[in-house]
Amino acid sequence: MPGKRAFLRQLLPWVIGAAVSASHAEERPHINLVSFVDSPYVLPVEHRPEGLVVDYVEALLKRAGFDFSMQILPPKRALLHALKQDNTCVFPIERSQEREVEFQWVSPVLISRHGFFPHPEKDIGELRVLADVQDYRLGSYLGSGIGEYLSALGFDVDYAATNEANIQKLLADRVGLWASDEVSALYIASRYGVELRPSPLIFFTTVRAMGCYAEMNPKYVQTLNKVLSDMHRDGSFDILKAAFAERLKLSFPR
Amino acid sequence: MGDLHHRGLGQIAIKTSHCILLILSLALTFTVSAQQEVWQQRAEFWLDREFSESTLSREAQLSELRWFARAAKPFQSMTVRVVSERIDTHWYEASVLAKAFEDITGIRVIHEVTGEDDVIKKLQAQVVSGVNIYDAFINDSDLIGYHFRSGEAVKLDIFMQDAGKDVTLPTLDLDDFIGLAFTTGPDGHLYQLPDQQFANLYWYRADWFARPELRAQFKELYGYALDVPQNWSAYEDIAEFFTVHVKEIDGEKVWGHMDYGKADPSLGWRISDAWLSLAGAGDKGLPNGLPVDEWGIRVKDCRPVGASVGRGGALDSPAAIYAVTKYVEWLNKFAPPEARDMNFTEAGNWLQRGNIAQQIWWYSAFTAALTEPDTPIMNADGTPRWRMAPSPKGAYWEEGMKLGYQDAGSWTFLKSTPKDRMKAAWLYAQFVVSKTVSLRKTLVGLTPVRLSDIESRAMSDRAAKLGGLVEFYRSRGRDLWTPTGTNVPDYTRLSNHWWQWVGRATSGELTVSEAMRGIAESFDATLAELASSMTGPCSPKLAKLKPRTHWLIQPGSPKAPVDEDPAGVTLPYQEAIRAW
Repeated sequence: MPGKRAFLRQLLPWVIGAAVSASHAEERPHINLVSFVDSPYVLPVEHRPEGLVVDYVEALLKRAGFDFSMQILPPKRALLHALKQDNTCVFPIERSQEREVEFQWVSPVLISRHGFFPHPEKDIGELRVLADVQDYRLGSYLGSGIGEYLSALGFDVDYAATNEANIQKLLADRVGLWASDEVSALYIASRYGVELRPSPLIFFTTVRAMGCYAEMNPKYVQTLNKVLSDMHRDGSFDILKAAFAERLKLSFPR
Repeated sequence: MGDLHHRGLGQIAIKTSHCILLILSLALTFTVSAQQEVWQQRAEFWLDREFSESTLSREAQLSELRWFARAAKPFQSMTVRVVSERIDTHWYEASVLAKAFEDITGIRVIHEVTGEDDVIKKLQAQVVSGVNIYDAFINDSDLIGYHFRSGEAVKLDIFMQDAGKDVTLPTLDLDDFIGLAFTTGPDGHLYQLPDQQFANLYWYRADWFARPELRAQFKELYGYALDVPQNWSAYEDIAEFFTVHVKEIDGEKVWGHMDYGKADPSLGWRISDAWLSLAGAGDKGLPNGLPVDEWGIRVKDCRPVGASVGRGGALDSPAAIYAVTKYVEWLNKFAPPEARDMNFTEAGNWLQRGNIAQQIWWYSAFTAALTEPDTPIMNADGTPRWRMAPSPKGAYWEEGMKLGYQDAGSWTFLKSTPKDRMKAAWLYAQFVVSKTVSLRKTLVGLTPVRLSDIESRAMSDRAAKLGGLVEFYRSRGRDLWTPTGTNVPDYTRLSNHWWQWVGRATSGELTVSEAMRGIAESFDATLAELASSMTGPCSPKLAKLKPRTHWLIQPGSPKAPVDEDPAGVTLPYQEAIRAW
């Protein structure tokens, strides 16, 4: 009898452990994360997503205790995936009025500032407020929310196929100012060996989010938002950003 | 000798140092006076170029500007970032006033303009993340119910007396602001400072209404005069008259009604801003009905207890169903067919085309755009062919209730903003509403916040060209047209339900009754969620469900069905505006 009791005593932790991990596995959701190339926030490196926001989102999912997979797709396909597939989230996207109802939102995953960048060797006139750029041709790229914002305000916007092309347009004087997310501009310019001066006018801020399938379990979204808020407040994202800047040998604006 | 020598050297040293001090002090005096001269020139430049129209004398203006310069000294060279919605007033602030402020104070301001929806999202993002994204927000006072409950917004009355005393303009003159009741919580604290206000008023083509042949035709068809409608029956008759009977004026197709119906967030504002209040869905009370407001939310003391009739609310009440039924019906029957797929921005430009006879309520923020010369709605002498007047009232409306909606974009500061940055931004906020600047801003954007501006000679001179705007703001109307009130505990979360449910009614997917039942249940569910996340004596707490009849037989809102189709009543313009 004692032998049998001892055997059961030994077995018990295994049984409980197995039961707990089975129930945990059931509760531990798997989230499919989809994104698109957006330098340097999301970059394809040997078919794997890397980049600053990738670091943010990975850290978020890990801290939330979720399993996840991540893939890079063309932007429209990425959006479509999250629109149509359960437990799928697309990032980093702008939370526009039109999109509001199409997703459940985990926000903010990225706060970025947008500025105007002149040719590095040319003097320009005074740029103090947005209205001061009305005489310039502004470089943006297709699909850019900032390009659309400037067009809607009546500015002369020249759309390149990608944001990368704007550095060449700027150097070739085909645009007078490059309107870009500050971090992206610094990153792209550094890849072309160009040292940009600090933007004389940081004119707009965007807040980007993760858009999750509209019918996804709302508890998952609540958990992700709670963890995201904690990570903003405890400085986790600042640490990731500093590490990323060091890796790329870039000095990101505060 | 040695001592003497030392003493001599010492005296020389003292004399030399006195000389140096004298030279430095002269140089400093010269520099300071040169700086003062430069500052004076800058101030005079702005007063001459931009702020010559003011309710203050030039000396008083200069004195105010000197105060700003002095108060801003600790924050010179700082760049502050603020955000507001995109209307003419804010574009003027962002483009002109931000520059003037920098020249006067040395504080640079990046004043971003974007959609109101984006402003709210950004405010939320700062609340959620604690990241100092902006130093101040110009946020509609519709969020007052959230601000006073959340504990995230700075109480400005306390700030002005305490931490912000040294940066609070002595001549701010809070009593001169017409909208402080909208930005004060039930706890008596001031959470926001109004920056611009505009109202939703009835808009109509006075020139068409005055045409003898149209007046005669209307009288023959409907039995009363074609004038400003006082109730929804008359509005409906006039809408039908132009769309169905008149059809064309001067060879152009015309419509008797304009609205928009695309399922996007701006549809939510369209419904929540005014349709239910004009219908009379809420209770009596100003600035908002109590205990049930125009969103149909009942409060017990200050606690929201429900929006469905079963919990004492009015969102699925007969009055609310009547309001949205008329909205859908008129959109489908009397508005241009394209209107069903339009949003706020797309529909906003339509009146300027000159083929709309009337709109039940229209944003007076568009006054500047609608008084642009050389359009079909303007006379050659620069006077408008249109007028604004009080909106017609729905069948459930009673004396003592609010009459319509007024937007009060107001300066809002979050506690997550570092104190020095908030102080610098507070200086800018006060600058753009200061008496030095305010009249000029009002004349540009036509969104007044100060009584002194409204009563100014300059506004009297412009009145004839503004279609009734000045008359409205000089009347009691400015207190009867009010923003969303404090019964709404979280505007952002609740407002999404409006457009999602009403959108399903405009598309025909649901009947209006089904949609209103859905929205009322969604509101109750959100209030229940908020009950678990909000704390404090004014946090929501759902009341128990009771039979609808229990509530419908009680006095006040939710109201039992009434005759929804009384005889149409109209009044001549001069009599109609006396209601203000």
